[in-house]
Parts: sequence; structure tokens; C-alpha cells
Amino acid sequence: MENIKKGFWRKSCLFVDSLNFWTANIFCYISVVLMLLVSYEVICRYLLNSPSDWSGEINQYLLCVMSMLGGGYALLIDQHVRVDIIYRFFSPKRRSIAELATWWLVILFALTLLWFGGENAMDALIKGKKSMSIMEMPLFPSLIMVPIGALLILLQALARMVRCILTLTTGIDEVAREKSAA
Amino acid sequence: MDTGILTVIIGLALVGFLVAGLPVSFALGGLAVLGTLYVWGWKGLYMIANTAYAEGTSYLLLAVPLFLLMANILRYSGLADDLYEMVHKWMGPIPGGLAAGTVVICAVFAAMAGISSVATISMGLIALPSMLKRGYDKSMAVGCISAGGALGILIPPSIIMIIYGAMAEASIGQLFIGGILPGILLALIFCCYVLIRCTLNPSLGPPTQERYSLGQKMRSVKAVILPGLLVVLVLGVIYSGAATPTEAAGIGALGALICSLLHRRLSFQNFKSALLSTLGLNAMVIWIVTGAVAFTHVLAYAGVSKMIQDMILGLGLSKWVIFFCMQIMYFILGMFLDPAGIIMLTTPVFIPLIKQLGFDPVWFGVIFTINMEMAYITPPFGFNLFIMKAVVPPSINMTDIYRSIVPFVLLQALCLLICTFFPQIVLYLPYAMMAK
Amino acid sequence: EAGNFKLRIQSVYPEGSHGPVLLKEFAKKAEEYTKGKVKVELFWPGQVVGLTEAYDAVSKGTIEGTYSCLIYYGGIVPEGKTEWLPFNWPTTSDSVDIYLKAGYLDLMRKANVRHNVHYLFPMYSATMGAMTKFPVKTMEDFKGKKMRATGLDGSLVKLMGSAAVSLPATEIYTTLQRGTVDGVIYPFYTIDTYKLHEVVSHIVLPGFHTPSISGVYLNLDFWKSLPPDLQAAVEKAGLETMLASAKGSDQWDKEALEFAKQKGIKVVTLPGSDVEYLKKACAPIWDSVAETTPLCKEIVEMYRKYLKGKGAL
Ligand code: NA
Ligand code: NA
Repeated sequence: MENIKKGFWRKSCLFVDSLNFWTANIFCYISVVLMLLVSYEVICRYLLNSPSDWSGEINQYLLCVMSMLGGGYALLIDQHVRVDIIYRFFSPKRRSIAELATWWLVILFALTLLWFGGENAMDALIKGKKSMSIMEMPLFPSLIMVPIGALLILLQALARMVRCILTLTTGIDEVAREKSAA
Repeated sequence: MDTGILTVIIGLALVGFLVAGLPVSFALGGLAVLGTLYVWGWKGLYMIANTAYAEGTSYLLLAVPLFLLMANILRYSGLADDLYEMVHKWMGPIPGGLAAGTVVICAVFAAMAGISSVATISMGLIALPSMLKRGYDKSMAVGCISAGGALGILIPPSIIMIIYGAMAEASIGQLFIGGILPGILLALIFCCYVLIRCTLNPSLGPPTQERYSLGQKMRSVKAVILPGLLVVLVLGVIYSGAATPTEAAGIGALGALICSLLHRRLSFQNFKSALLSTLGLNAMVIWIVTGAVAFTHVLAYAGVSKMIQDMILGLGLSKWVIFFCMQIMYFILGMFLDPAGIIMLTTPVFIPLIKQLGFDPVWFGVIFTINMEMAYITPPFGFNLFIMKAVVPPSINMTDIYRSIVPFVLLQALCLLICTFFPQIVLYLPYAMMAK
Repeated sequence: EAGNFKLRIQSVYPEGSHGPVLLKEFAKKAEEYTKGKVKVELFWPGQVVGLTEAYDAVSKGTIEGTYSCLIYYGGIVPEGKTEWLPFNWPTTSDSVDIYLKAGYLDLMRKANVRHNVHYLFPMYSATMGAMTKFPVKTMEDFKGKKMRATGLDGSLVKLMGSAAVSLPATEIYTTLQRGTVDGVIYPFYTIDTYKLHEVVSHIVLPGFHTPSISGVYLNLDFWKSLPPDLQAAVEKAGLETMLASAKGSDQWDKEALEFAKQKGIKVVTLPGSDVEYLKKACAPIWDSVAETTPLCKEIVEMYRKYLKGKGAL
């Protein structure tokens, strides 16, 4: 019984990992699109003397997509900046306790963004809100990135906490174990 | 609750969460949520979501993923190998020549990439084994790469300057141009130090035995063509006015991609990992800015930032005392934190303060960046030190690495003082550019 | 304590500039007229919410008010664009008439109520028009140039034969100076406050917005929570500020043009025929805004009626 349960939790964690992994693998190409659009815009303005109306704004939305959706991935590969003066010297058990004591703050932050960001996006969809530029692009598609990104962070943070609990119960460093597996 | 008590509680909570290892972005963002609930009420929470959206769609920060992409592609371009070969042929016979040449390559890479890791990794993999094989002192070899790599944030382009400019509302173009002369100065200081010490004591950096004909030497010079073109492309378009820094980043990334394709070094696998690294680092930057801006909003709403400013200004200290206190604080923070985190933590209080004290925000931004050069190589948390640890052979341990950076930190501090007392070094080019 | 109200206003304009000076006056008056029952707290750009989010924040009650300008929120409140139709009023006093006598303020209030916002009062922010690096004699000179212009002004500079470039305000100085753009549509007083005199050589009259407009917008729930006497007192402070800004705005224009002349900037006026052409060519811009909502249509008709009465159309 105990083992099946652990199996379920571990599988859930791996599912979240692969969710963020695949999100990153799909959306990482946005930076190439950005590069091409920005270069195109400069060429249009500098060589052809005809700047486009839409490029600047589309680029900002693309930045939003890759920044919001990449947050969970950055958490997965541990890329978020941290102060690890003491943390580095902790044993896996102690580190798990420290994380369980602090990571609820990430959950709180992500839940806030999920709820209020989601409300903002729905509001924009219902009222048909548009951007302030000449293009008057609908705001919903970019606004919805905030709650989606928050959800990805939320899931990854929950997975991290589950792993900390597993580490405490099994005594094996689950965080490191599954990191090396990935 | 009294604003003073609130400040202390928020400050302690922040330190607690950071020391426990929580990522800076989420510590700031999460505390912003708690602070908002306490001083502002649930309606204030819309602000948190709005902040994430505003930073996610920021025009200024658009330069971040593009410069990251450029840097990540450059890693696989093969340009570093060619440059090192040239340095080896020309400067190898001089005592300390390889180390000085490595610094020069780092400076050239700094002029193409907005972060410090590209040059540090490349030189760590290429120059370090070569220098160690030829009997270079390990402190000299390791130190010049860690310190040289850090030039990446001072010589434009620079992600750190973009973040500072976005937070301080200073022109990123001017910050970039302002970093050129101090960056060259610092690179020169490093070179002089290396050459002088090795000339006095050649066992630190013995001359190489290989000799090359003039023809061989001349042929190796073609290595500078592509990097030269890239530097001119990025800095040239900014300085000439053809494009904004954001647009220069896009063109630079495209240029780096073309260079890598010309060298036939860029496999699809490498390209994919460059893209993934860009995605992760970019998300890190945007989320840390989001957390910090949300935190700043709460502090402003609660009146905390104003209280701290008034308190500092109320001490009646001269502006230079405050300036040096800030620099010392930056140095200490730099030992424990990443520069992006430092900008975020200090912005709410420091930026309005420097404006009130009448410092030029561009000059201050460049001085800050020089200070952050130190942060990259000071223990315990020094980004370049970790990179070095990952690439050095087992014979070199962490203590060796720590010891190697001491003279270079002192040289960086010297550069900081020079640019403080001779602000023209920073401001000459931005003003010349403006007067054009 | 009970009966006391806190009004937090986020200004999107920096503390030192012209408008905020009047905003501070408003804050003082509002406190004075309400005998301290309404306490006003002002925040400066970016302090509690950003520019793009300010209107939404007021609408949701995150903050009680903002000092901003509705053109930024044209995608949310289309009626806000009517305040920024090029050549919509010939002078400041005409504009005051339009708001207070022709019923414009009431129409704008009606438009904002839908978003849970009370449009307290407009504030005049000086004349806004073209400042260029290139010599200008006629409209012909704008052909093939790059102008930094946002919103409806973008459509207008296109009519003049220029390309419209949108860039962040922080980059205006450097992009002008390096020739990324050849000119801007911006308030004339920035020739002094943003040191634009170092990078432009010509100011072109007439302005597109004579004068341009900003305003103070409050959360409607907050407004309704005020007892009628306090509402009247705040309203009074608002009206006085509006009238003061009308005076101030003309004064800032005068000072800006004098300053420009001192610095050797040429102040040129487009020939009458060009101005007539531009005003006519603007009609489609006006029409397109009028088509957005019935209220927009009502407002544009009101404008046209007023201008016809004045013989200005
Ligand atoms: Na650089
Ligand atoms: Na450090």
C-alpha cells in the first residue's frame, strides 16, 4: 500500500516535470521568431524607411509568452537565482525541512497570479479589451499567459514539496535522484 | 502597525526566506502578496497580476532574451577557438602572454555577449588547459579567466545594465556606451598586472616554446574578422542610431547565428540547448523583476521606501559618504547574491535616493556594474567561480580558485575608484554621442 | 476612524513636471474643502501601479484614483480617444466650453461609469505637436520622415507622408539625437524639461492638440461611498484645478516657445492651406472613432456642432 502511494506521488512529480519540459521544448523557438521579427523591423525602418505598425507590439506579446511559460521550466532546472550560503551545506533531510517551511510562499504567489491574473484575462475577454496602440490588438491572448505561467510554476513548486516529503519519509534524496534521472 | 516595525518585520522575513534557499523572485513576490494582504487588502492583489503582465510585456526587457540568445549561440560558434589560436601564436612567447591574451579574448567576447558566462566557459575549456600545460601558475590562469569573463557585464551589451536601466528609467543606450571606456580600462589593468607580474617572475607564466612563421601568424589574424564584424554590428547600430538596444540585440543574435553557421559548428542539438538555456534564463530575469517590482509597489504603498529614504537623508551625511556606503553594501551583497537579485533588492530605496542626491543615473549605473564585476568572482556566491569549479582539472580545488581572485578583486576596486574620481571616463562617450 | 476617507492617487506623470504641481494643489484643496475628512495621498510614476495598469487598478479598486490620460486606455474606454482627436478644439477656452457647457464632461462621465470609474475632472497638459530635426516650411517636408507618434497621432503623421514609429518615452531623447527618428509629436514644453532643444531644430505650429488633456479618475465605489457634502467639496476642488490648469497650460506653451526661441529653435507655422488640408484629412480619423460606440458617435457629433457654431469647421 505504502509503495503504491509513493509510486503515485512520484509519477505525479515526473508528470509535472515532463509538462514543463515539453512546454519549454515547444516555446523555446519563440526567441528565434523574436530575433527574426526584430531584425526585419530594423531593416524595414533603416533600409526601406517604412516601419511596421505591428512588429513592436507583437514582440512584446511574444516576450510575455516565453517569460510566463518559461517560469516553471526555470524552476525545474533550478535556474532561479538563490542565495545558497547556508543552504548548500544542508543535508538532504534538513534541506527538505527548510524547503517545506518556505516553499508555501511560492504556492501563495502562484495562486495569487493564477486567480487574479485569470480574472484579468476573463475580464478582457468578456469586455473585448484591446491594446492602446493603433493596432488595437485583443488583450486576452497575452493576458491569459499570466495564469497559465502561474499554474506551471504552481505545479512545479508542488512537485518540489512532494519530493521534500518523500525525502523525509524515505530518507533518500528524492530531489537529487529525480534531477539526475531527468 | 508602525511603519518602522513593519519595515523590520518585512526585512527579517526577506532575509529568512532568502537564507533558507528560496529563489529571490518568489521570496520577493510571495512577501509582496503577504504585504499586500496586510496593508492593502485583497483588492491590492490585482496589482501583483498586473505587475507580472507589465514586466512580461516590457519593451525594454525585450532586449534580454535576444542578448541571451546571442550569447548562447556564440558559445557554439567556434569563434573562441580561433581567437585563442591567434593569441597563442602571437603572444605565447611573451611571459604571461597567454594570460594577457585570454583577458583580451574575454573583452572581445564581452563586446558580443551580454552575460559573463560565455567567455568564462569558453576560456575555461580552451585557454585554461593550454596555460596549465605550459606551466602557468594555477592562480594566474584561473584568476585571469574568472575576472576576464566578468567583463561581460561591463563592456556592452550587458543584461545587468538593461535591468538597471529598466528599473532606474535610465537610457540603456547611454549606459551601454558609458560602459565601453571603463571596460577597456579594466581589461588594460588586468593585462598590465598579468604582464608585469610574469615579467618579474616568469615562473608564473613562462613563455611558450612553439615558434611560428610570420605567414602562420598573419593567417591566424583572420580569426578576428567575424567577432570584429559582430562587435561593430551591435555597438555600431546603437552608437550610430540605426537601432535601439533592443533591436541591436535582435540583429546581434542573427549575426551570431550566421557566424556559427559559417563555422559549421552549430549542430541542431547545440542550437536547441541554446534556445532552452535562453528560455530558462529569460524567465529567471522576468520573474525576478516581477517579484521585485511587486515588492516595490507594496513598500511604496505602505510608505516604507519613503521612510528609509527620509531616514538616510535625515542623517545629514555628505552625498559621498552615502555613495561609498552604498558601494560597500553592494560589495557585501555581491558576495552572497547574483547582480540581478541585488538590483532588485536595492532598487526601491537606492534609485530614488541617487536621483535625490543629484548623481547622474548613467554614471551611477556604470559604477554599479563595475561593483557587480566583483560580485561575479567573490566567494561564497560567485557565478564565475562555480563555472571555473566545473571546468578545472581535479588538481585545482575550491580554495585555489578563491585564492586566485584576490588580486583581481583589488584591481576591480581600483577601477571603480578611478571611474568614481574621474567620471569623464564613464560619461565622455555618452556625451560625445549626444553632442554628435 | 469612521467618516474619514483615504484617497490614494497614482500619478503617471513625474513629480517635478507641470501637471503634478497642480495635482498637489488639488490634493491640498480637497483636504481643505472636506475639512480633512478626505485625506489625499499621491504616488509618483510606477510607485504602486504602472501606467498601462493604472485605469484597470482604479476600476477594480486597487487604488482609489489615478492622474493619467485616457488615450492610454483607448482599447478599454473607446470614448477616451475622443479627447485625443487631432484638432478637436482650437483653444483652451473652447475646450473648457465644450466640457462644461456643451455637455462633454457628462458624456465622458457616462462612458467611464461603465468601467466603475468616476471621471472627476479633466486637466490641461499644454499644446502637443510636431518637433523636428529637419527644416520645415510646408507639410511637404514631412514626406519620407520618421516621426515618433502614438495612438491617433500615428494616423495623422501618416497623412502627412511620414512613417509613424512607436518607441518608449525614455528613448525619445537618444533616438532623436541619433536619428532613429526625425521628429516627435510631444508637448512643446518638453523642449525645456526633457532638454529636447539639444536634439530638435524646429517646432511646428499649429499643434495637433491645443491643448492636450489628462485627468483625474476615481474608483466609482469609492466615489459613491462619499456623503454628498464631501462629493461636492471634492468636485469643487476638481473644478478649480481644471480651470487653473487651463490657465497654466497656456502659460506653459508661452514659456516653451520663448525658451525655444532663446535656444535658437525655429518656430514655424504651416501654411493655411496645409492646415485646412490636414483638418479635412482628419475627418476619416474622426469618423472611425465615432463608429466605435454610440457614445463616441454622440461625442463626435457634439464636437462638430460646437465647431460649426464657432465657424471653425
Ligand atoms: Na557584454
Ligand atoms: Na560574489
